[in-house]
Amino acid sequence: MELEEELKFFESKRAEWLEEYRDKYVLIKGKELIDVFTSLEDAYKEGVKRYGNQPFFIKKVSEVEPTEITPSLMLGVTRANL
Amino acid sequence: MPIYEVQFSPPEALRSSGAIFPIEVSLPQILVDHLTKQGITPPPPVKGRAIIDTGASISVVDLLVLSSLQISPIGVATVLTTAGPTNQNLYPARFILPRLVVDLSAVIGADLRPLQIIALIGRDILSRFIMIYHGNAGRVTLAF
Repeated sequence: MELEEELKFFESKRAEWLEEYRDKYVLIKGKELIDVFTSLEDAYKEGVKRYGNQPFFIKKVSEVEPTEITPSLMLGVTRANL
Repeated sequence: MPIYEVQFSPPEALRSSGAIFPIEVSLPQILVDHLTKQGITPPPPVKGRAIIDTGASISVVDLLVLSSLQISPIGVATVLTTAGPTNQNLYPARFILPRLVVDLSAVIGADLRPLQIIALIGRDILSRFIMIYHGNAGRVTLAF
């Protein structure tokens, strides 16, 4: 998986950043916090401006990590053939 | 308020096939503008079909589509699988639905080819508009 270094860096800083940046979006490249934004769109705009179509890491600073779920794919029950 | 209606014929087709509609998936406009300024021609949008899945918390795009669009990841999400929670990359995507453009959505990738769709629209995108599922009439209405 790409962006593992950035994910580890984020996890190491999460508690600290919760104090200062709760519910904001951090833009990270490597082990560097580039900037903090109030929306995903603004963070993405800055990421593209700096790195173009290269990988960069955006994450909302929140206490609980949401777990995404797509039951239909997980269970293989989606049917989409007309 | 723009309204888009999909009428299935016969109405029972909605039950059997699900809420399917045409869609285009492309790079977000911000990235298209950036590449164009650099003299790079962005990959063209990929056309196909999407299904609405109210059970999915996040939208999904077919891996081959992400690959053909040459999109780099912008994050990581924890996704529940049959093997437990796993980390998966998030990719920025632009969805062009009839009468609606969702310019930036962070999606995960999966092999959707067996389903004959290129995208699965989850609650992250549904949270941006109203959907009426009229089962008797075989009609789905989206209002933005």
